[in-house]
Amino acid sequence: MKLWRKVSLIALILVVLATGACSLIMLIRSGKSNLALSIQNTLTNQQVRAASWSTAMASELNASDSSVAIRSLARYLIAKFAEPTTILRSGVDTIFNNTALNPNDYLPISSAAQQYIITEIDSRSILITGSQITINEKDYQLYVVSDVTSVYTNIETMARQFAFINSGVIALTGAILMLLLRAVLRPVRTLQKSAAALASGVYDQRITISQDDEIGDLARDFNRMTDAVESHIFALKEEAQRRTLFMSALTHEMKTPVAGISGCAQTLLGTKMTQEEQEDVLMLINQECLRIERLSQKLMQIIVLKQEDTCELASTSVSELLDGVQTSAAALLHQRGLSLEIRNEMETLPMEQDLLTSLFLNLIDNAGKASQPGGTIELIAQGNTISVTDHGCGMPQEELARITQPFYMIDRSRARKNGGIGLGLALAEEVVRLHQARLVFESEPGVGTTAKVVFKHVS
Amino acid sequence: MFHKNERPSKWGLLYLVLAVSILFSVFIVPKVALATVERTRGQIVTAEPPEK
Repeated sequence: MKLWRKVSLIALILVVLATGACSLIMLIRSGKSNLALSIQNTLTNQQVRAASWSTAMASELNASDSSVAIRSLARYLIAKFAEPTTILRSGVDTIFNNTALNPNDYLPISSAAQQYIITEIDSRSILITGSQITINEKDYQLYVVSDVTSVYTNIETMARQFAFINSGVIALTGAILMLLLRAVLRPVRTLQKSAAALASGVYDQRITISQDDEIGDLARDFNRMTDAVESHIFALKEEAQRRTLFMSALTHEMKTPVAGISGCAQTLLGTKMTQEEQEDVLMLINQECLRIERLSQKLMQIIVLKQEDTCELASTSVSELLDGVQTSAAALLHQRGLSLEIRNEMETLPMEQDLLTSLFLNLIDNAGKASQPGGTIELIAQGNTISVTDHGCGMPQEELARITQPFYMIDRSRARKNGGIGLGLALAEEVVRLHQARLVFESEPGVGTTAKVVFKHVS
Repeated sequence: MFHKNERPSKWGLLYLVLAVSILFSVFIVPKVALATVERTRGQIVTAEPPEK
């Protein structure tokens, strides 16, 4: 059952019970009040008649009067003071009675205290009040009778009116409740539709509910959740795309040396060659195998580093790091006829020394490949940055964003000639990530390139 | 006995409760009011003497 219907029904039930209870209380109080008023009026009437008649009897009566005379006097006086609903009796003798009923049958009176009874006679509700009056040692019973049927019919009429009014109130309340609730819950339906859209893959829908209540809070949280889902989906798609590109690049990079090895092997098998020629072909096979070996080693390093979120960093002397790099790079630089200039203004740095050493060796190797013999490579540690600068061929600006992608090479043939496989800077990116640093390239074609490693935390 | 989708909803009882409430309000309340007012019918009551 829909929420608006549940709430409407519960509210209506409460309204019905409340109006029913109020009606009941008002009917009872009104009925009792009206009945009490009628009773009181009749009692007062009876009391006045009794007082008037007894006073008149006392003053007119003589001690020597006969019983017949006394009866006649009583009848005369009661007729003077009475209404048609007055009855005077003395024991079993009815002195005055213009009604059709015998009150003694319903209200036998034996004391001066006023008494009354309400009884049903011929489908009418009749109130009989009476009291006993003693004059000259003779007891008289004076009654006043009143028809109070209207009190009860009034209650019935009021009850019908209440029922009619309550039905109208209930119907109106029900209609208003339903309209109000549907309006209040409209934002919930909007939320539900947006949730359904999100579940079916539509991530760009946002809810425009600006209420300042719980539903508004829910809408804002829903939008935040959608933002998070959308960005995660986007990141996952990007990651999937990167992996696809990586695999296709890897396949391509593997294909070339494998094709070379296969070609050389077929040549060896199918062609008659001299010893020297065979040795040349075997050398080619060896070079391609070494290339595949380097490729797999670098891939393994990248895979291992990618699996780590952090690595243990120890505060190490920067000059010790740079000295280690210089020592390791010496042979490579000598082979290319290049020199390395080091300038250090940093004391210590939290680092994993081996990883950073391989990073700077990588950068120096790239700088060396871009430089001409006789050139200088600068390794400078300053502020929170360690940079490697060459004065080689430089790179176009539009290439800088892509050079850290696995297997990406600006000049593929030159890189292959120098033994490059396009994974060095991808590896450098991972090392920099583990050190919570940034790798920034600045380059100008024909002028040179600076690769900067910008650290966050410097001791 | 019932699958989840086929089980009668407890909320459907609200319709029954509403119907009973309306019937109570329209028919029972007047009867109860009359019965309460008529409670003293047929009883002889001695009126309290007026305060002097």
